[in-house]
Amino acid sequence: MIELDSLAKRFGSFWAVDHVSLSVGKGEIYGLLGANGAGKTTLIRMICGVLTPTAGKGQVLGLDLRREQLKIRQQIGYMSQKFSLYRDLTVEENLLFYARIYGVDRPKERIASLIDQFSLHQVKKQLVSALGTGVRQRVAFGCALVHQPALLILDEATSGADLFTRRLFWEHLYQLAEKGTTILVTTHYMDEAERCHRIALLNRGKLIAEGKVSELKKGVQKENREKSSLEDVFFYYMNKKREA
Amino acid sequence: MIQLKNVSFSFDKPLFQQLNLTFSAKRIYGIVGADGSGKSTFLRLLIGIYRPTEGKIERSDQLLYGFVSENMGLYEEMNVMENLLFFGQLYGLSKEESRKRSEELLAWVKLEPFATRPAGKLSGGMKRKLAVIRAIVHQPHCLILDEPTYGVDPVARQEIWALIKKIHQQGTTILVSTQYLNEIAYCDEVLFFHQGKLLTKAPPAELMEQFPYRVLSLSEEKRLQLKDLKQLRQMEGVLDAYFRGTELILLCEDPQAVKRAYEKERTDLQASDWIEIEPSYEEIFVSLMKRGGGNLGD
Repeated sequence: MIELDSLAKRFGSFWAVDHVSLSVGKGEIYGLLGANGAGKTTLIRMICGVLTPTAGKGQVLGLDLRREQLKIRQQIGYMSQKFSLYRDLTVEENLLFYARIYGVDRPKERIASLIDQFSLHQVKKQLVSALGTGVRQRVAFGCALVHQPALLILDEATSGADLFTRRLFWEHLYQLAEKGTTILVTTHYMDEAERCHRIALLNRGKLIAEGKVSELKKGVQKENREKSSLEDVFFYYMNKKREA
Repeated sequence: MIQLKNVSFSFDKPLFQQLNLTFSAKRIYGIVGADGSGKSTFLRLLIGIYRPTEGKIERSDQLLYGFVSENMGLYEEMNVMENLLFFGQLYGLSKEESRKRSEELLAWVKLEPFATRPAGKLSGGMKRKLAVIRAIVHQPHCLILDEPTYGVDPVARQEIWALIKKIHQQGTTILVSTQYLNEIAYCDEVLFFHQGKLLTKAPPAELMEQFPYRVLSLSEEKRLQLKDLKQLRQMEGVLDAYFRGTELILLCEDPQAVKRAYEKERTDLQASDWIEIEPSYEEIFVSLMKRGGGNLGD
């Protein structure tokens, strides 16, 4: 679903993404973990088709990252920390608006099913500006899924949400993945990264480690001879890079 | 140092009831809970911004506090040094003392190169560090931090905890609230809040030891689906089940009983597919909550 081959982006003399290769399969939940400035957002923007790479190549949903950016944008679902909802429209109107933008077939039926799925019945006639963060997040999630995208991109979509909101949110993600949706998540929370099927650690634009969380932990454990948390893994690779 | 005696507190609705707690000097207390669980209210009660509806809070004589609220309250137009000097003088330090102390603290967090930068123009992590050192210019006995690591990246989070430990080593008592359960490991004692109730106050090691359940992880080759997960949750003796990446985590009282019962549902599963693992703080929190009559919000 995502195939990146030495993908890179340079701003002036600074390589924001420094030749990253990775591949994400259908139905996989793949996490990008890194500090601020590690290159997560730049990488995501190239994958979404809103930023053209300086070097390297890639395919998303079988579409070329350079030549088919518009098609990519139409076919993926995207949700960021900022949610991009219209505050002075109601919940239903927001969903309908996104359904029309994406040219969804029978939009009314589709949004009725989303309202069901995300338990939005009681608030569907309310303005988004009147809603709490948790509900707003469910609405934004619905909007990102309105066109049933094969690839869903979540760019720090749950930062600021508390433990329990995150738990519920992740059950939705596992359900989507089970039905074949591929999900790319960026986060800087370890507990969230642990819920991904596979993760990549990014530091200064480079991919410094990749794999299942359990495997990464085992690898570092061998070196340190101690039980390792994902946080230990993260700093192990960051420091290793610095020493090299 | 701080003692709560039969303290109850109501806001719009009753929050805390009949709390009897002691906070001793020179320890790190972690205040943990989700949004709206009562963490901030509790901290505000401790430092006297709110008063108990019933009972009383006794504090040792001349106890000095430092407090950093969740939104930090920095003067964004003032530069870093001015923020520190202003607070120093508010606390009654002389200009000279104030400058000396500010310089020392800036060196602690390596912010000297930014002394003349407006606080509003710092990165999120730097702002947090400035807010913390600003709260200790007067060398308080007790430092209270409301979610100092909220929304910052892992590198800044580690730096902030290094700073907290350094302040603690100088003999300061720390009360720090957080939503990140892994930060419990840095605390001497932890207080779990959920829906306005205090669920427990205990050292982390004690919580681990006294955890009454067992945690199982199902091998990742036997991928189960969400419907299996829901079925498992309904089983007797199962407290909780959830996915963590490619693993399935199960909280139960009696692993053997669960394995035997579930084998009837899924004949392809064998006892050896399950391994017992140590509980994480998340499982501890979930178990305390369920026993405390709370729900997960779902």
